[in-house]
This record gives sequence, structure tokens and C-alpha cells, in this order.
Amino acid sequence: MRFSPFVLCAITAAAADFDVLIRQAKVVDGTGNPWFIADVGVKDGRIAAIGRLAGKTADREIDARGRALSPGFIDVHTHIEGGIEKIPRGDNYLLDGVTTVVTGNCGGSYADLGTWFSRIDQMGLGLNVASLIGHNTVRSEVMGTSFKKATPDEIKKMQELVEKGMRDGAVGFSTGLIYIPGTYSDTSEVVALSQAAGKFGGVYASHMRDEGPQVMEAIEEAIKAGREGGLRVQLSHFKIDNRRLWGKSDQSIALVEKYRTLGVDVVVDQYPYDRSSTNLGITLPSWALADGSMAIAERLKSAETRARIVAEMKEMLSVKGQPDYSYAAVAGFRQEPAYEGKTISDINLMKGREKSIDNEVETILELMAAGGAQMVYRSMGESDVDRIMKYANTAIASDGGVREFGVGMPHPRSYGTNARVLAEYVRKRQVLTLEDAVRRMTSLPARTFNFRDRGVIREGLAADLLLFDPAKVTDLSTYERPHQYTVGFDFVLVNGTVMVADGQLTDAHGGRVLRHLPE
Amino acid sequence: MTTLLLTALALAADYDLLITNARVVDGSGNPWYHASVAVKDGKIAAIGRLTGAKATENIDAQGRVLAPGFIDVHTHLEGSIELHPDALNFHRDGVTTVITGNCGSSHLDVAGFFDRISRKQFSVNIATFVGHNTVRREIMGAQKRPATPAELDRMRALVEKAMQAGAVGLSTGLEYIPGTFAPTDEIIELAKVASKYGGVYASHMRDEGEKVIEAIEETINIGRQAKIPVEISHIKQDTKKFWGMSGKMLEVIESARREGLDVTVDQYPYIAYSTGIGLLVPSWAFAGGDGEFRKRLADPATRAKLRQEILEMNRRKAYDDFSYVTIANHRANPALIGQTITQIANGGDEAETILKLLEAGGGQGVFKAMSEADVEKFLQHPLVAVASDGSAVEFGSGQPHPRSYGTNARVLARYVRERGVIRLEEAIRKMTSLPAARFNLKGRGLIAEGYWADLVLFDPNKVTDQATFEKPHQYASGFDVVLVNGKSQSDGKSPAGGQGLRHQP
Repeated sequence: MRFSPFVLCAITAAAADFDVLIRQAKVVDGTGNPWFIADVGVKDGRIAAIGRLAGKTADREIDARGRALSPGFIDVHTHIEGGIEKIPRGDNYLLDGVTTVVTGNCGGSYADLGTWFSRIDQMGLGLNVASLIGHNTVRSEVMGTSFKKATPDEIKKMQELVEKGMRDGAVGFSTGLIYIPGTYSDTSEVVALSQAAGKFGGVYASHMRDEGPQVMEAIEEAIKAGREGGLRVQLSHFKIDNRRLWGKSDQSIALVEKYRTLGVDVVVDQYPYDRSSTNLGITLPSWALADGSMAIAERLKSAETRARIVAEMKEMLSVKGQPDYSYAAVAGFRQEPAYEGKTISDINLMKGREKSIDNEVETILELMAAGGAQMVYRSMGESDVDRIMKYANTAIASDGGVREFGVGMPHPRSYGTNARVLAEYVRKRQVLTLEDAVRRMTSLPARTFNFRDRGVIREGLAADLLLFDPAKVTDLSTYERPHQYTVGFDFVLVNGTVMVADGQLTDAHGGRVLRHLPE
Repeated sequence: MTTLLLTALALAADYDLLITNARVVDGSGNPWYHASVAVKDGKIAAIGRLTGAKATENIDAQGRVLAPGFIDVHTHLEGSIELHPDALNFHRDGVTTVITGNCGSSHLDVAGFFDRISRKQFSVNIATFVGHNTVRREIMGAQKRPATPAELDRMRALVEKAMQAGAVGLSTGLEYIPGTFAPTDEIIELAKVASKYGGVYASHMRDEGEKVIEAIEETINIGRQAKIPVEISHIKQDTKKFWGMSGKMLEVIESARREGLDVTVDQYPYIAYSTGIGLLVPSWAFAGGDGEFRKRLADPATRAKLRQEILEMNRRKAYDDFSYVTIANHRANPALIGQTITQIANGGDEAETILKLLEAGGGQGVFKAMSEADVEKFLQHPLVAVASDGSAVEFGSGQPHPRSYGTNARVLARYVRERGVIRLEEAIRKMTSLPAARFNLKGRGLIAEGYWADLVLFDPNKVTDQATFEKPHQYASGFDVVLVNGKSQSDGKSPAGGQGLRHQP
């Protein structure tokens, strides 16, 4: 589109004032200010004019008829590696209003971002893609999954990889400190790598070491890493992930606010669900997962080691305050799709065993031996979800991926995060105002991730725009039937290109890679 | 030689001004972030780390907050700004842009006003409404009757001329003479003219007490009929009997927005209002102008009727006396300034005291008539902007309402820092991007590259309003740097930087 071979088209286009003109929209401009009615003209991928444009012409005119026009949503917590290569348009995100994603979260990114950026840019992206450089990725490159402290030499090698990622255009550095091998690192390693990224400016985004009993210490660690690295801190998918601690989010938010008062720029993001989603391995002690699948299999074969693993798993379950594993449902398990959507407790019974904790642990170990599974965990309290959402510095982010329609039983957040906030938390329960919700999806993440020309409807900024009826937009994806696209985002423009028209995806590709702007 | 050297240095610099180590509260309501901000040619040229950038002038913010300059959409300074172009009371309260011509009262010749101010230096950017009272008075004087079609046409023409000259919209003051004599239809017709030019309808409504809901509905209906965005000025519940009504008032406004009508609101952060003491007298007394008023007072029967109605009006508002009204200025006898009407009456008939004060020329009063709970409820609502309702005052003269000196500092000191009613970032939004968006003030209200360098630097732990009802002539403290279009008052008092802001349709 950018290099149109049709000269005649270009001349015809030049005759109109705008490429796209949206008339009579309720402009929810992303700042949190109340909507106002205006026409918005788009030209050459940018917002060219806002106001009364009655006499102006455009190649395409859209009558908003009182629908809301907002900036495209910026989802700063995604995992689109793998998915975006299969579906470069990013269908589930576009239909949920997302025009920009940040991937490479939780410590997992491509190691060679430069090459990956070039590759996906040539695939014809539907949405804009930025990436963090991930700690687990660089640690795996240098140290594999060995359960040990990094040597000074290893730190230096990891720092070089982080710096390379930043030079390639990463928007910051991410960690996933419950995952293998990031969980084997100590704070000093994380700080050293943050400092490597910090030379370039950007974000320290962390899936913290704990989201339950040790969440306060985990927040302190994340803030230390960001502060000493000279990076803005983004606490990912902020939550209280432990039944016994439900209601304690007032304390974790207060800790974040304390550090803001002290001058640390720390903010959080959240997905609007009370269930989380990650792998099955997190139910095992992390030492049991070191050094790859062969080593894991060996440990499970040794009766003594297996007994230790079982004992620690039961202890972990007890700490979580869960009576059994019925809070854990399988989302994806290739070998036996019949298990998808079933809880560990269900699967244990399906296997013909009696209900007991020991048998459920056995069931988990069998699934692990078969390669592990993707899970959905019912682990958060509604009051914490609400309180975190109301906290002024919480952005909305899905923690999802680009989904192949119909494959597996993924968490619905990949399909419906933004629509769910607008339908459930704005329209139905009035936890947030429309304008404040949109701010959390647009200008708030834009300011943290330094997307200086996005996140607000303002003349001169990139024309990432959404047209929707706030009374109608609805997430349809559920835990039981996740593969359902959001309805209600009638028009989605990415860099001025119409990617969704009248609710239908187009074949255009308006997206591109967003490399870190100099700070 | 010195000049040459300075020129050479300036050429070598990337920017005119560099503010380093700031916590940027950018006006959007988003949390502050660390950055340096560079200014060149009156605009924000760069935001970021800016390591190694060179500037002619440097300011180390030392972690203080840098925010967009405040935009005060409700002021009355057409009569005072040309006398006090430094507008120090606003300037020291962080205000960099004002909209005047509120409550129906403006310059009639908006083009002439802009032309005049373009030839002088001011410390604030100035935009203006065209006022309904001004227009009506020009055509009909103070007559208490509906306009004839011909009169309406002439009023329309005056509004149109003002809009063409760059007025931001039409203002009304429907508690004042002669605006109060206008039926709703007249205002709708004039608002349609402002709408044609993309203006806003701002109203000091017909009632702010017993009938405030009806008054809000009238204001909204004008917006609905004239297809014009609406700004409800200085929202309040000013009658003790109806304190606690703020929630209901806001619900009526929210319901209009749900209907698709663009209504927003402003407010000053005080529990007292300030206006002419004539407000205590039924409006029929003033019909036909001052001469007619004096004739009525001269007639003993009419005077007695007025006294009776004054007391009745007050009782209906649940007041036992007039001790809530303090005289703020009274040319005939300045010794009365600072006293309440009850004190002045000294046991005598307070209604008669009021009439005597009016006979002697009247004056401004400070009316302590709002509840703190209502004030806070309004302040917490996202549709409500902060605006002073003040004017450019002469330091030390009279007993003005402290809002002219301390509105913004008071929000930041009392309602953000001390009482935690709203967040710092939300307060700044109400002073910057919210009013800028409402009045389409392009390139203002946010800290963003390419925006005008209207900036304030302050320590949120220190900024404080000093003006009180008792001692109003005290500047706010704590706005350490105030830039208007990139310029500061270099010697601390000479006006600099302000521009006339003509509305672009």
C-alpha cells in the first residue's frame, strides 16, 4: 500500500482532502477526557484533522452516527511469538480493537529480534508489533536451563544479548521469574541486565517472582530492578493469585503508590478475568524442571526424587489455599484433546482413579511426562480484580496470543479482553467510565512504552482508530467456548489502513514493526 | 562584543530552554513520568532524556512536577486585563490561558478587543465568549420582556459578528439583568448562531439553588435544540436547604450525555461565591434600569414589598439572617468591607440595610452558601473542570473573592495533598486538557512535542493558596516557573508571552 504502483490512483487520491473521513463521531480521545463530537480526517496514515470538516472530501467516508471513535488499543502484555507468523493479520486482536501489541513478555522473546522484526514486517502485518527482550530467552542462550547462579562472564554475555536486543529496537527488558530458567536467577542478575537495557531507556516489564504470599517482596524486587536499571517499571498482569490472600490488593497497590511517591515510575497492567492461564509446570517445584525434558523424565523415574516432588507439590497446593486441583483446567493438550476444558480433578476421574490429592498429583505428573499442558487456573478473587481495575495507573492488557481459530481451549482473554472491560466493567457494572477505560487501553500504555505518536486522537499522530458503539460492543469468548471473536468494533484502522470494515476483516495489512523510539 | 558572543552561543544551542529532571504530569490524567523538556520558538520541541542537549537557558527541576499551564475557562477580566496586563494573581496561580466574557458579559466588539490586546504584552493567553447580556443590553436595554423578531435578528447579527471575530461561543448569565428577562427560546436562537461557527454555549444558569435541576434542564435543552456543546459554569448548590443535591445534579448531566448531548462543567473550589448584593433582591426591582429601581425605592409601599420579599426569599433558602453575606466592596463606604450584612444592620432590619447599600451604589458580596460535601462531590466527577470565576485584580484593592488568587493552588493543596479528594494527575487534567478539549484550544493543555510551551513547574508538597476571605490579597506560592508560549516574566512582573486566542471554527 505504501508503494502503490498505480500512479493514476495516486493522482485521483490527491484530489480528495483525506483518505478516510469519519463524520460525527463521539471522539473518546484517549486522554480520559469526556467525548466530544467531531469529524476526523485521515491522510497518509496519520490523523490530519479533527473538528468540523463539513466541506471536506475523502476517498472513503464513514458516518459514525454517534458511535465512539477512540485510538486503537495498545496491548502491552502479549505473547504473539509463533502465532503472528501463522496469522500475520492478528485476527483475534484486531476484532477486539487492538492495533498495537507488545510481545516478548514474561522473559520470553526472540533472541535475535532484528531478524525476527524484518521477517514479520515482510509478512504483511495487520497490527503494529513491538517487542521486549526477554530474560529467559537470553539466559537460555547463555546458560541453558541449568539451576545455578550466573558467573560474571555469563552475566556479561547476557548483557550483550540484552544490548543487542535493545539496539534491534526492543522497547525494554522483560522477566518471568516463576518460569524456567528465569526463576533460577537472583536479583543481582536481573539488575545487571536491566542496567544493560537502561542505557537505551525503556521499560522493565516483569512477571514477578510471586503473585501470592511473597507478592510484596516480589514488587520490591521488580522496583529495585527498574530503579537501578534506569527503566520505567511495568508490573505485568497485576493480581493476588492466592485464595488465602484474596482482598489484599489494597496492600500491593499501596506499595506501588509508595514507590511512586518516592519518585519511581512504576505502573501495572491487568487482564479483566478472575482466572489466569499458563503452563502446567508451575504446579511443580522449579528445581524439578531444570535441564530439559530428559532430565525431568529422569527425576520422575527416580522413586526418591519423585516422592520429593510429590511432597512439595502438595505443600504448594496447601499454601495456595486450594482443597484440590479442581481450580486447574487443561486448555491445550495435543495428545488427548478430550482433556481440554477439563480440570485436573475431572481428568483424574476420567483416568478411572479415585478422587484424592495423591491421585491428582499423579495425573499432573503423567501429563508432564507427556510434554506438559497449557492451563487455565481459577485463582483470583473478584474484589481484587475490581480494585486493581479501579486503580488509576492500571493499563488493560490481555496476556494473550494470536490464536488459530478453533485450536485448543485457550483462555478467552486473547479474544475478548478489551470488549470485556467495555461490556462488563463499563456498561454493565460501571466500575470504570468509558473514557477512563479507553485511557487505560491507549494513552496510559503509550506513555509507558514510549509510543509517542500513538495512544491519543490528535492531529499529526498515527491513525490507529476504532469506531464502536459502546452500547453494543461485547466479548463473546468464554472459558467453555473461547473461539468466538468480539463483536462491535465496526471499523478498525491501523496506520490509516482500514483493517476492519463494518465488523469484517479486510485483506489489507496496515501494521508494522514499532522499534523503540530514542528516549 | 558581548551581544555578538551571546548570539554565537544562542546559535550553538539546540533549544531556547531545557528543563531537566522533571516529573512530567502531562495533562492527560496519566501518571507522571521522568523526562526533560526542551523549548524552542515558544513550543515544546522535545521530551525525553535529552542527554547532551544544549540550551540557552537551563532549569534543573530537581524532581518537581512539570505540568501544562492551567487553562481557566471561567473568568471576568475584560474590564481589568488592560489595566493589569501582568495578571499576576492568575500568573502566580499557574494560569497561562484564560477565557473571559462569561456569565453573559463580554466586550461587544470582540474584533476590537482582540485587535487591542494584540498590540500589548500580557502574561496570559486570552480567549473570549460573546455575552448574551451584553448583546441584549445593546439592543433592548434592561427591558423585562421578550424580544421582538426584529430585535432577535439584530441580536443574532451581533452574535454572528462576534463569532466571526473569534469568540469561543455564547455565554449567558440568567440570574443577571437583563439576561434573566430572556425566555429560553431567545437563547436557543442565539446559540444556534454560535453553533454554526463551532462554538460552545456556557451558562451561569437561571438558578443555582431551589430550582437548579430545572435550570440544568433548561441549559441542556438549549444545547439539544441549538445543537451546541454546553458548559455549565461554576456548578454549585448555593442554598442551604438543598445541600446534598450534587449527586442528583450530576445525574441529570450524565443522563444528557447518555442521550448524546455534549455537556461539561466547571467549578471553583470554595464554599462561598461572590457576586453583586443585588442578587438578594427580587429581579423585578431592577427592570428598566437604575432609574426605575430608584423610583421603586422611593415609593414606600413598593419599598416595603421589596423588604418583605427579600426576607421571604432568604427564609425559603433556610437562612435565619444574612450573616452568610460579607461585603467585599462598597465604594460609598469602604469601612463596611469585611462586615456581614447582619453586622452592618446591627440589630436593625437587614432587608432595609440591603436596600440602603444598593441605593448607595451596591457592591460585591461574598456568600458562604455551599457545603463542602457538594464541592468535593463535584470535584471528584470527571466532567468537571477547575475554573476560578475570577478577574485580574489590583493588588490590595477591595475585598475580592480569594478565587482570583488561589483557585488552582487550593485544589492542589487542599483537595489533592491534604484531603486526598482527587489525584494530582486528575486535578491537572481538570486544569489543562479537559478545558483545552472543550474549547478546542489547539496545541494547548498537554505536554506534547509541537504543543505551545505553556508550562508550570512546582513542588506538589509545597504549592499553597494563601488568599483567604479575610485576607484575599495574597498570591499563591509554589509555582516556581510559569511559561507562556515559552516566555517567562523575567523580572518577576513584566507581562510576557500571552496571545489573543481567536476561535477557529
